[in-house]
Amino acid sequence: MFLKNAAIGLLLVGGVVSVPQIVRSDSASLQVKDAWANPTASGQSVAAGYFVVHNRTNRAEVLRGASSPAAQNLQFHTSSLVGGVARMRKVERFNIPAGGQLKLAPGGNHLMLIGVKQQFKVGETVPVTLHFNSGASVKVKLEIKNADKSSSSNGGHHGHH
Amino acid sequence: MAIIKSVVNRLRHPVGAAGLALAVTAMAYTGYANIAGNAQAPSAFSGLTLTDDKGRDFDFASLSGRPVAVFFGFTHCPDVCPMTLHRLGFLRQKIGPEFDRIKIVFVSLDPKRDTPEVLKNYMEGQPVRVTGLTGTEADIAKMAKRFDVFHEVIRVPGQDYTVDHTASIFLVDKKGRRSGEITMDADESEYEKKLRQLLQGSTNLHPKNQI
Ligand SMILES: [Cu+2]
Repeated sequence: MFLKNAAIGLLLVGGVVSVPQIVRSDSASLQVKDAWANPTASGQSVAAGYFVVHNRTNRAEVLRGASSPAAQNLQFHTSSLVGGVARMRKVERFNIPAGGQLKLAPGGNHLMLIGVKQQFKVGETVPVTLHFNSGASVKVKLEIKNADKSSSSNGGHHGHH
Repeated sequence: MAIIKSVVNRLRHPVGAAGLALAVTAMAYTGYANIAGNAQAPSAFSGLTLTDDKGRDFDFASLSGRPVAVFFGFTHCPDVCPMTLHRLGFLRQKIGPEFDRIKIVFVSLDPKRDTPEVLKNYMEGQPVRVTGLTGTEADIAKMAKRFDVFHEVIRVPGQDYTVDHTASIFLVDKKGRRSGEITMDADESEYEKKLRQLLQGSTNLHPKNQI
């Protein structure tokens, strides 16, 4: 599963070179790219967000939380497919090895926005701040868009555990 | 009644007793006289009752004569369910206008939250035209059972609940026969192959049809 995810990660990164969205803040060596979320229907109270974190430091980092004015509660979740059944579960944190990356993508790890206050519409952005164990925090803007092909048409990105 | 049931159960498994099937089909499927005469299994949708996204009783008979793709989910499923819909959107682009002959049906496994109005709003934003169905828990359970769909409500701390569910797309041909399944881990070429087969009617029938 890791290898598959890594392969999809390359696809994703490769697919968006025309619009590099690199957001930096107080930690120049933690980079978050390709942050996006699906639009929501009116009345839909949950949404999933995706992004890639590159840890360009020489020590392991832990993504431990997220906050946003756009939702009441933000969690990290992972979806998996076991015997044809899709399951979604809360996870407390994601580890990112030194020099490595964390990729959140449909059908696997995602940021879960619960109690979404306003409908997410295509073309808008949603501000989210990611909090890391080192004390670093990174502000990102989720671009609201429909999944592009590389993130959703390949079957390799669900979690086989 | 118990006897009929056991006959039906036997018929659902390919026991290779074609003569027996012919002899008892009319008796076992008296509710489906229109097709029982052809010694075929009843439509995959026979005897089901659900409400569509406009709040009307859904007419399952309207599916006959059309290839159908059915999948199950819930609108508060932000990760997996949109994936299925977007993949169908990509295949629609790839296959072209012919794709629209396929009737796509989404069955909610979360009737508590998925009222017809919620379903309608949800379907309006999708890349393919989808009919959303909801209903009573019992009616939804019956529909899910028909397609061997697992579903279970799971409490989530800080959130109400989520629903574990079988994430496959079930294909039903224009004669109402189960004719394939696309699992969530299928790649695009498998999606395309199976949807094209569904459109051509050249599908491998599900064992439940082989009476
Ligand atoms: Cu989630």
